[in-house]
This record gives sequence, C-alpha cells and structure tokens, in this order.
Amino acid sequence: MTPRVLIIDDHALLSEALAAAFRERGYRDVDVVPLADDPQLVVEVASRQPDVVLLDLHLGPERLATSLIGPLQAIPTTVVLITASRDPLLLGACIEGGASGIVDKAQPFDELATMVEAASRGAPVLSSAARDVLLSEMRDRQRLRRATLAPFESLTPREQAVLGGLCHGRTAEEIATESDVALSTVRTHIRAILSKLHVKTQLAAVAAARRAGWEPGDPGAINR
Amino acid sequence: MRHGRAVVVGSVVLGATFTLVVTLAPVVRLAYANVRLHVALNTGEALVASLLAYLSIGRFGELRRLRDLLLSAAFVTFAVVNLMLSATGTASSDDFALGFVIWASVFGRVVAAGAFAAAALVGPDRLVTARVLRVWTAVAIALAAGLAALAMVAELNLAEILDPELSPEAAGRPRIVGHPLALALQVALLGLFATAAIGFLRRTTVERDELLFWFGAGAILRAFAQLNYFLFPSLYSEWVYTGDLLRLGSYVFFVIGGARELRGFWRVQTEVAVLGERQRLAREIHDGLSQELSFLQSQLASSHPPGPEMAVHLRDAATRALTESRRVVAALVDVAGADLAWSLRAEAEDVARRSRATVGVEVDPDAPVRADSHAELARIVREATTNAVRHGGAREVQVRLERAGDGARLLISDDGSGFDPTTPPTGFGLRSMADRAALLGGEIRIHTAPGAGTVIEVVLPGQ
Repeated sequence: MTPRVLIIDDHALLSEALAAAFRERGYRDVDVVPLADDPQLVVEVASRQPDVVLLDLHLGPERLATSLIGPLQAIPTTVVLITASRDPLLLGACIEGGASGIVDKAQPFDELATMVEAASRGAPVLSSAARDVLLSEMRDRQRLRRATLAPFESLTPREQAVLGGLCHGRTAEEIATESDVALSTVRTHIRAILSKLHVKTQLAAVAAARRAGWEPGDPGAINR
Repeated sequence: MRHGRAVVVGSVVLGATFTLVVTLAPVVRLAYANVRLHVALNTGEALVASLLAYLSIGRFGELRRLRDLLLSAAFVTFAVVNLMLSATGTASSDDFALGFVIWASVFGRVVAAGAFAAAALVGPDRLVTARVLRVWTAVAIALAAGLAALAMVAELNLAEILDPELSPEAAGRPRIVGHPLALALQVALLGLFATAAIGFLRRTTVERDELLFWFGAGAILRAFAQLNYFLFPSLYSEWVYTGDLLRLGSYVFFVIGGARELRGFWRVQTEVAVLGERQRLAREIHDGLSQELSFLQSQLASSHPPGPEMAVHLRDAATRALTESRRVVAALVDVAGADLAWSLRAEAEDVARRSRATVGVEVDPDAPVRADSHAELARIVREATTNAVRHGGAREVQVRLERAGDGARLLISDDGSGFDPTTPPTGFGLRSMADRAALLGGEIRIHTAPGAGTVIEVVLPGQ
C-alpha cells in the first residue's frame, strides 16, 4: 500500500509532471491540488485525507506557502516543503512553521521518494542535526537582516505603505489619489520616512529600500 | 565633504587677501573698462541662478520645506535682476528706464539676498502649507507690480546711483562714492551674505547636505564681493573690478553645488533602476527557469531511468525552460523596455504559465498609447488575466490593443465563467483596474454575464 500524496504547486504543468514521476514509480494515489486561497486549500486537502502533502514554498511571485504549513499539519497530515530556493531564512522559517521536511527540488528524485516514504510512516524526515543547522543558519541570517531592516521597521504601517508606493514609481500625488488621503498627509509621511532612513530625497529612500531588499507590506495600510 | 574645510578657509583667505591688496597697495589695479564683460557676467549669473532656482523648486515640490521655498524665491529674483541688467547694459538710451532698472535691481538683490540668508537660518523642519504658499505668492506679485506701477506712473525722479563712467583707477585708494542709499544697501548685502555663509556652513555640519555647503562657500566669496563693491563701486558702472571677480568666484561654487546635486540625483536614479531590474530578473529566473531545471535535474539524477511517459514530461520541461530563458534574455536585451506588445505579452504569459490557460496577445503598433502609461496597462493586463484564470477558470484569454478613434482600446476577453455585472464579486481587483484606467485618463467597461465569459474594455483617450 503506497502512501496517498498530494502536490500543491503554483506551476500546474510541473506538478503534473512530478505526479507522473511518482505514478511511474508505483505510487497509485498521487494527485495535484489546484491552487486556491489558503482556507479553500486547507478544506480541499482535508477532504482528501492525504498521508503526505508536498507543498511548494513559492506559490506565485508574491505568495509564500509558510502560512499554510500550520493549518495543513493540523489536519493532520505530514507536510514536506519542496523548493528551488536555498535561502536559509526561508528554509528555517519553514522548519519553525512546523514543516516535517524540506526537499531541494533539484536533488535526485529517489531522495524525494525516500523522504515521502519515511514521512508517510511517521518517521522523522529531517535529522535533528540537519534541523539545528538550518535553524542556526536562519538565526544568523535573521540577525543580519534585522540589522539591515531596522530603519524600515521603525516606519509606521502608513509610512511603509507610502514608501512601497514610492518604490513602485508612484508620485506623492498618485499615492494620495490611490489611497484616498490628502496630499499633505502623504508628504508628512514622506518627510518622516526621509528622516528615519537618514536620506535627503524620495529617490534616495527608494534606493535605500532596494539596497536593503526591503519589501513593502500591505498596500492598504495607508487607510488604516 | 572631503575638502570642505580647505574650501572654506581658502575662500576666506582669497577674499580677504584680494580686498587688502587692492585697498592697501594702490599699484595693483585690476580694472577693465569693459561694458560687454559686465553684461556677460550678469548673463552668466542669471543662468547659474536659473539652474539653482530649478533645483530648489524641485526640492520644494518634493517636501514643501520653507527653506527650499526661500531658496527658490532668492534664485528666481537673482536671475530676473541679472537678466534685467544684461538687457539694459546693451540698450541704455532711455534714461528713465535705465534708472528704474538699476534701482529695481538694487532692491531686488537685497530681497533675494534676504531670502537667501533666511533660508540659511531656517531649519529643515519648517514647512509651507499650500494656503500659505498661495497667499505669499499673491502678496509678492502684488507688491512687485504695485511698486513698478507706482514708479512708472509717478515717473519718479530717480537719482543716479553712480556716474557710470566713474573709473576705479582715478584714485588708488578706496572711494566710497555714489548714492548714500545704494551704499547703505551694499553694506546690508554684505551683512546678509555673511549671515548666509555662516548659516549654511553651520547647517552642513548637522545635515550633511552638499548643496548647502556650496551655498555657504559661495556666500563667503559673495560677501567679500559686496565689500569690494562698497569700497570700489563698480557694480553699476561700466567697469569690471575686483568685486566682479569675487562675484564670479561665488557663482563658480554655486555651479559646483548644482552640478554635484544633479550628479548625485543621476547616481541614485541609476542605482534604483539597476537594483530594481536585478530583483525583477532574479524573480523571473527563480519563478520560471530554475523550477524547470530543478525538476529536470531531480528526475535525471534518479537511479530509476525515465519511462516513455516521463520522457515526454522531461522534454516538455526542457522546452519550457528554453522558452523561459529566451523570455528572460529578451527582457535583458530589450533595453528600451518600452515595447508595449512585449510587456503586455510577458504579463499575460506569466499568469498563464502558472495555469493551463493559453493567451493570445495582439497589439496594433499604431495604437496611440503614451509611453508613460505602458506600466499601468501591463498591470491591468496582469490583473485581468489573473481574474480570468483564477476566478473565472478561463482556458483561453485574448489580449488586444487597438486604435479607437483618436485614442486606443485595450480588450481582455476570456472564456471563463463570467459573473453578474450588477453584483461584481469582491477580490477581483475591478476597483483597482478602474483606478488605474482613471489614472491614464481613461475608463473601464465590463461586459459579462454568468456563464458567458468576460470582456474587460479599457478605453484610453487620444493624446
């Protein structure tokens, strides 16, 4: 009896191919779940009662699967992340989020199959040593990253939304129109941003954000 | 500022030495009776002042600081005053007009220097609201117009400031001559520029704003220029003397400041563009190419040889990887990035790639679309295609941009499930698409019904 495996990936053609690879090796119960919103996905997965869920870490250009790990594990099922990313920050976050294992998409398929096998038996997918390495690498990177992002974290949500607009090439006027606030309010935010980031111009603020790899959060925050 | 201290000390030494030498050593004469050179100097000052006015207005527009407004006012006034003097320097037949221009320029310079000095004393935190700006602009225009009209109507008997032919070499010692009011104003100008120099240089220690530093350095030389103008009145004569030389020096510093401000702007602009592009490409490669290649690697590294069905999957993945790499290369090569057809296709295909839908993109190259609206159109296409695929379950999406009268029309049609347009579902981004269309001066029309697919029509006005 082979385990029941579900694949969640934003890349439909690739996940079909992956499912085909499993079937070719004798897994009879492998399926691809069409992408949907988080709650819908969880309901869908729960209704199929899989032994193992192979979850792609990137579910689109701006969507990470980290928020899905917890709810899926709670179904309960075993979640194994598959990713082409090597970013210790992301990988560590998956482990912290409760993922049973992480598989590099590029490693030989046999290893993925072995992992799925182990996961379905309830055996540990990742050795505790490997976990510790990942987590400590993540902590190191987090410390660095926090230092880089500290000035951006000091921005209020509204200021972050305005900076996000500037990063997308919007002018103060456009940001004001788009988010339905007064132009003077946007300018006040901009001045606060400049003084917190220690730069003189809007353009320099955008450059600082790009250099630090800062990503704007929720664009709706300006109205809150 | 790397050589800041040297520049400041050098300016003070230069100004002081110059003034002392021409005052105490009558043998040294640096005077030229050259009206044309005088005109050229005034024109040069006008041009430099215009550049700095442009930069200051740009800064003011961004942050609405009082300081930048004062600087804008100062440089606009300096530019106007010098242009007036250049113009009358060549046509001085009408005595009244000449007298008026000269007196107006004396006062104009005091006003400009006053604004300049005030800008040096105002901190960066003082702001100007739109209402205050309107009121003060109106007051300034009314005052200037009122004074000019009064002078014209009353044909005031404008005293001559100075005999234009007066030569500084007639006497080797300082000769404080001319209209007493004009002399008093020269002293006032000296004080204002000295204040500005101290103010700006002190501000630079706090703010590290290079433009302000060069303003301060220029103001030092300008203060010494005013001292020379007071001792050897040449500003309104046909003579070029030491004061003019120092004034020229101050404008060299102002030009350096302006040029460095522009250079800094371009440097940051380039950095922003490069970093943005690098992130975009990294994302593109990660989302497409590396996924396919990872899959190929994973399957081929397996001990189990791929069966015939798997071979088809592998071939397809390799094909997609190749297509993807060509797409990324095309994105790199297309320097202009302005090829609308390409960017619309890239957006639509990027969305379609993640689903099983197919997209067709057709763009009439003659459709009149402004270059600055390309990005918004691309976002509308992305949003509409995402809706069609995600919410409508569409298998096929057609994107079409065509000429429509004077303007253009963008159509995104799909064979998805459609919806009731009277109760549009939330989360469809319809509002944001409508906002984007409005930003382009256009509007959005939605043609749909349950089960009938959806057509999003964006109507763009003519240019």
